Amino acid sequence: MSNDVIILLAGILVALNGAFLGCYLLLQKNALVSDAISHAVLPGIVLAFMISGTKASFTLMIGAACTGILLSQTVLWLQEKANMQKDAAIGLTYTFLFAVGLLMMSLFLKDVDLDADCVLFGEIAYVPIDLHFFSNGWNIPRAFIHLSPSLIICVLVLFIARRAFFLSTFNTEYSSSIGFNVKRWQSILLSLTSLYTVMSFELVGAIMVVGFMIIPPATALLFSKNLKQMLILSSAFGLLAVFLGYFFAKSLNLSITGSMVGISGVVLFICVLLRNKRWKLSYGRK
Amino acid sequence: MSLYVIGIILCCGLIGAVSASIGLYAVLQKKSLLADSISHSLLPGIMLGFIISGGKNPFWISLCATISGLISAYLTDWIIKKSPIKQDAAIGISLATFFGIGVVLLSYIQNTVDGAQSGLNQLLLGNAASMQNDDLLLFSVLGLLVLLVNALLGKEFKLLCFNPEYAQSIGLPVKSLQFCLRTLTVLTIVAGIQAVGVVLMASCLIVPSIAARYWKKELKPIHNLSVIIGLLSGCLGAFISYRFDQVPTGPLIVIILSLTAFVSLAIGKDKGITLRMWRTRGSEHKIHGEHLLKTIFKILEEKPDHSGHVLLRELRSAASLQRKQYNSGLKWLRDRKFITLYPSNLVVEEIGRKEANRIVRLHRLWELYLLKRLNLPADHVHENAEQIEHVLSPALEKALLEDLEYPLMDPHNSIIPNE
Repeated sequence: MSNDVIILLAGILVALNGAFLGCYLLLQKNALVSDAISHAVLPGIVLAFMISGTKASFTLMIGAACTGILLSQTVLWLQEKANMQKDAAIGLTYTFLFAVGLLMMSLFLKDVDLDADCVLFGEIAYVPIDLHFFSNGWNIPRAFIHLSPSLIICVLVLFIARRAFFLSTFNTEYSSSIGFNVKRWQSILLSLTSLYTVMSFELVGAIMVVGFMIIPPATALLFSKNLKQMLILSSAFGLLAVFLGYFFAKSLNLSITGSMVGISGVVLFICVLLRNKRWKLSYGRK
Repeated sequence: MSLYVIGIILCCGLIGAVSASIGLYAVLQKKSLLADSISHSLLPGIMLGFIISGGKNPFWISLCATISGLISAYLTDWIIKKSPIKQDAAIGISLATFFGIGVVLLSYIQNTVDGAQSGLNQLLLGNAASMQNDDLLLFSVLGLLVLLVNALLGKEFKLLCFNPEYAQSIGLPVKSLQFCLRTLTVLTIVAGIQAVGVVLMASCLIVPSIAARYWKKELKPIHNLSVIIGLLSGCLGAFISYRFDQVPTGPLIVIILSLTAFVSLAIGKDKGITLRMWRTRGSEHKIHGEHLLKTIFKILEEKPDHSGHVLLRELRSAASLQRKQYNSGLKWLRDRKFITLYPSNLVVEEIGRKEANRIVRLHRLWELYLLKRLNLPADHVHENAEQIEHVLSPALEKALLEDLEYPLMDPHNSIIPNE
């Protein structure tokens, strides 16, 4: 496989996983919790790197994902027990965890190839070089080993428990009143989100992963009438961003992840503009 | 310590104080995370400033960063207004988009300019030690400017946060004020990019006010306290980072701030968790104590000798309390001298008798009230009276007595004790 194909495949894995999770996160109004999780997993990741040396293994990364779950529980606890408003609780917790991660990184991780640039920007261009060798001599890019299980788990859980997620997303008051545990399923979704964030971390960084989770579903939200349409459209917008971003970055030799997220955002702004234009036209005709 | 180091520490303190002062408005408007989005959105501006000036010129970088922060804030508003996308998603969208564009511009700079970009990474995570004299001057002036405008327009900003409709109705230029407040927020974040870095600047804005709210009730003390917290954390963070030069300033300041906030929410004097737990526990003890007192009253009611002696064994079996609750209730009664405890029995004192009378009176009055005025069936009134008897005030008691025309018997044909 050529490098282009490998990078694009990695991008597609990141985009699809993000788009699926993002639809639910957005509809549950938890978009910013996902942002917070993506920052907050840093201490877990640094710890995983400290334990394993240079390359963090899949199991350690799952451990790191627990930091994200810790964050979402802390936010809930602060809201309920300490009477804090939601935005303040999120802002306080994740900046703290992110700062702790950065400090740990600068104090303990001088010899490991995890630096501030990697944390903030990620580097999807290294995917074809960073290979995992099996004992029988075969090799595949290590990113695939991290990303495909995450995507498979996510799709399976979302599909098998689709009714539960539906109930915990729409009309939550009604679902609670018939005895359905909305909070539990929302926490499961946030756990899937931390898993995804940790696994895609080396490729897209701690901050831009939010772009993959929020922007395509938000764009899809503009045009879709039901959840199914939204899931399909947001995957489409995610893939569009990956392809456009990759070829834009490739032709001008710029940051690939940055271009993907930037273009995704620009597409969204254009769509909002177009949508308003269309409304005005149809009102004029009537 | 040289004069230059003292300058850096003071500058960090100033930045901490200014951001605490401005950040209070963001917390009041429940827009803490907008500050986060704006701070991430400065990145493309910083890069453009670098490209335009061809180097790390603090003036150009600050100017472009301010513009880019403002554009991001207004784009967020525009998305919320023009589409079904909600505020939280819109904030995330502008954050990610602007940060992505910033990263693209950074990679452009790294391709074209060789080596000179070394200072740019420090704008992301903050490194106070890398501040030059003109950085110090510019960021201090920015901070002082923000403080000055804030001092002049503080009253209007507060009104804007608490009651924008009222502000509009008394003829204040709400839109311009909003713009002014936004610009001040962006300028504050810009002032902090070198010392704290864009990624963590949001924390400096919001965390001091979060911490201060656990100590004070009114706005002015909250504001003053949060400014002090910001000032001290800024100075302390810069000082530690200077003493141990491996440690970046930004994360350090943020950790100091957050720890302050966590300590405040644990032991804060106004809304802290410990205090609230303590209060809840106090009222629990009171409720158990009053419950026991009532049980004692009933036991004595059945024993007409009025000696005031009650066997503990008898009380324990009559009271529907768990062991722990029973003990805490007895202790509560003893501490208030309502009863005197002996190894196997207790004696009700005079004030205890009065208190018992009062509680039983409230209980039975309320039962009667529910029955007569609200027409509840007689077998339903007891549970509610169990709860309300602990909170009825003397004024309500008087009103109940008057309303029920000083009754003698309750619905279960027990005597309502008088004072």
